[in-house]
Amino acid sequence: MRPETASLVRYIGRRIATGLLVVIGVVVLTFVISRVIPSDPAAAWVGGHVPVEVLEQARQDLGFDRPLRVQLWDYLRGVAIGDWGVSLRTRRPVLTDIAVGLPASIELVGTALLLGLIVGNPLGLVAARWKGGAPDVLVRLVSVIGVSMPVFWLAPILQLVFFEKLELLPVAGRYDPALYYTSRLVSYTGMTVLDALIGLNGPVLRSSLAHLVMPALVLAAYPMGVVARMVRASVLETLGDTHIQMVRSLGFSEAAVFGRFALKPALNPVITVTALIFAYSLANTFLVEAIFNWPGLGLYAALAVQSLDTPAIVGITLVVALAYVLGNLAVDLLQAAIDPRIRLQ
Amino acid sequence: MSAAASPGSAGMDARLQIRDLVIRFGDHRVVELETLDLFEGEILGLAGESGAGKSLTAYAVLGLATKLGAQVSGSILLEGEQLVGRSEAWLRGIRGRRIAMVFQNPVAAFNPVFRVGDVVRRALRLHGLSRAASHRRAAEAMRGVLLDPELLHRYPHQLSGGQAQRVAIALALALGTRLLVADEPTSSLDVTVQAEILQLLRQLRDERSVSVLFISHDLSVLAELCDRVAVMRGGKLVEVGPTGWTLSDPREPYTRELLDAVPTLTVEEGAL
Amino acid sequence: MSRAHAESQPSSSAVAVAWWRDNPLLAMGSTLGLVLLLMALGAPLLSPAPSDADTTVHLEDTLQPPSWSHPFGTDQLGRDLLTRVLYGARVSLSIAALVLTLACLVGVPLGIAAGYFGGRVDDLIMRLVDVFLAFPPLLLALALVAVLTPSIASATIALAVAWWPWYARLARGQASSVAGRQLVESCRALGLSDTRIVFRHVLPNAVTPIVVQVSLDLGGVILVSAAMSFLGLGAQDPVPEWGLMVSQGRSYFTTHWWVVTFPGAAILLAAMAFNLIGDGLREVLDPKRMAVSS
Repeated sequence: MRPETASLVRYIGRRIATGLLVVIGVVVLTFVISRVIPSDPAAAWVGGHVPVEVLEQARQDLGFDRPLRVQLWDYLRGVAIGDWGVSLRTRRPVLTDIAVGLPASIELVGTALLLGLIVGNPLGLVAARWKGGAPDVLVRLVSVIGVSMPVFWLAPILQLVFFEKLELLPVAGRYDPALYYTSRLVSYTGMTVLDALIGLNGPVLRSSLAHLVMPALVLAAYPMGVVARMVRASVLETLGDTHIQMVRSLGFSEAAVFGRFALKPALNPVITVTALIFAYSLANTFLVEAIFNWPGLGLYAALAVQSLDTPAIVGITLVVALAYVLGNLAVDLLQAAIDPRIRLQ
Repeated sequence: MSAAASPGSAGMDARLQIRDLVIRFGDHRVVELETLDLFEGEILGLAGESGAGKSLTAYAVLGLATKLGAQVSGSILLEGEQLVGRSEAWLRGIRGRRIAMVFQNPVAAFNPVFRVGDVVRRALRLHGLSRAASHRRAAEAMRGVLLDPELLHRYPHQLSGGQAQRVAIALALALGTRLLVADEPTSSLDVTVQAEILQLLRQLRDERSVSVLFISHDLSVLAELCDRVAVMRGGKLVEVGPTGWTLSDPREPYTRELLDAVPTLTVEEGAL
Repeated sequence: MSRAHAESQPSSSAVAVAWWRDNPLLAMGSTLGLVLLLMALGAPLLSPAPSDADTTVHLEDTLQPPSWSHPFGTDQLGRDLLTRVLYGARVSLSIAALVLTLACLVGVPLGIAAGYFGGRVDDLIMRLVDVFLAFPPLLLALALVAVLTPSIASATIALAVAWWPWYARLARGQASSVAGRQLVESCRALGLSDTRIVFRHVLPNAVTPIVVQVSLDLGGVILVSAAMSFLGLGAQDPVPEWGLMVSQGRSYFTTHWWVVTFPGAAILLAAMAFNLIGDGLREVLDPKRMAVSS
């Protein structure tokens, strides 16, 4: 093994170990939320409106009468082997519900994140290039609007404009239900657009893309704002570095200075926030999915919250936190790929 | 332009002539240089404390001072051609090819996320070489400064300071530069490496007739390397002259002050 | 100095113009923030019908479009929307202020302890912070409120629980950078107590970044608390909370645009005000520092 590879392997190993530690902490925290904080955890777990004897039975069945330490151990084991409890609302295992909703959410959040990056990157670059000028002020204003946007307000407004008034886009859902009968969609990934592409299902592809536009736009506002802000700050910081003076002194154009030599080293902090943005977008998608009736985790969570479905809420919380930890890990690896200073320490 | 035709002194041609150069930030005049010449095959030291305007003068020579927000007036002639007030596009053609700069921290002067060879070859291609030729020229240039061309595959943080500085100088030579602006190029290096870089600069002067504007606050280095030394204070030229005169028998009290601030100078001279 | 002063005695309006020109975004944010504060403080005086912010309903006046008597129209219970939007500023600002005060009270001392003492204390506190930071604030707050009872009070506590780790992390960074300095070592050598060193040297250094972060987060908390009310887990009717007003107005929105538009715009402008102020302050105080949070 080359020394470079060895140090990379050590680096990845260290990241995975700390990630694992955080995962355990996350599970323990959800345990505290669901079993320690509520005055009657059993009631929270099986629902408030059940007869006393059923509640008592459940308390014994679920082991809620045993010492907390034993409960915590059972809980950790349950999470590890996939026993995440049963949803009070759907009466199905929480993990099954999550598995059904996850692809839909990833499709939506992924699209929004991509949109945010595609728009936010050049915006930030433009702002840094003309710092203090009109483009800079405009970009910063737009990015502040992006991070300050209440999605649950933007969403109904877009629905009003593009569906009610202009009749350009569908109001909600993933694709036209009429297509259930005319062009049946075979599920490969659970992501409609992707499935339609794989199955060469033209009508569903068109319909699902049209349905994706509005929720993705709404959800992209926040990532776009954060990315533009970060790219601007990061590029400006890099511009003070000697290597920028060096390439200028070699005769490179400003376009090359900004677009290549300043952007690439400036991307690292941007990638760091991408994981964070991903997690925020997963939370924001609760609101967006509820409004656009998008059958993902967000809609599931919003419904769970409204019916005080504790097992479902805890399950969702756990999944999002795990996604965040995994996202962070992915970010670390991506950074190591971009920045040789990290990978070759 | 007539100034270019008439040689400055001692029968040598002036490679760089600075006349009435004023660099301002708003109303604040940071540098005022009346006359400063750099001849062919000469190493001119530019001394002075930090904040004396040495580096800003260097950036002005490359036409980069305006990028830092400064206003530049007066004249800077490179081999007779006026640099002040030229278009950015024209200046870009000059930079690297006819004037190159080496920096104080050589490792930081290379982009941390590009292999050094990548920057070197991109610069060579920018100034007209083909892809294949840029590879060849880069390798040649490395051997020219006694470095293994394999080092081009490394990232800057994998090079020592001395190696990185050699790569920077090699790049300048590969581009055909005959005027090197060196801004404290050895002050971040340790003493033995510093001596190697100084030796390399001398060699370039003697063998290729490269002119070097060598900026430093370190008078012992200036004494060891330079043909002539100019001393700046508060943006103005205090004294210019052959190194022996200026540094061993300074006429200006300020130069004496600077010398007195360097207790090691006499010791090192004794050691030489 | 005094001569320079005599030479140019700029009028206060000229100063204001220069300020707007140099920091247009900070100026815009401060103006918005000031308006917001005036709305909150002056709600009883500015409102056409102060009692509409409370339990009063006018069933004969429901869903009236904007007019001179109701500039923002009325809602589904006939309440004057302008009144409720004005009073909403009170609700949102006090929730946000309370959440961040709590978050700072918990986070800053923990962060300073971690950074100042280092070692195991640091490890323990920062691992805990990492765990909390793995949850997006909205999500953690939702989960907490769901097991408590939905109300403004639970939402406030839940949001504080979600926000404190950011301040712990920030304060730790500041404290550890100061703790290593020679100054602190010499203070210790002189026999100064740790408390004294912390209050004299560590805390003052941390104030600036914390102020910037608080102004940014005020916007964030306003957004998230509105979102919680929108989902039914925050304020409950008749509290004039903007998020709740958007949520209630949604069923009537397609035919009565004003019920959602005005309270939502208030959320956007309030969040913008603090984000602009925070951004502007950061730019003015230290353009190099980059905060990562919302």
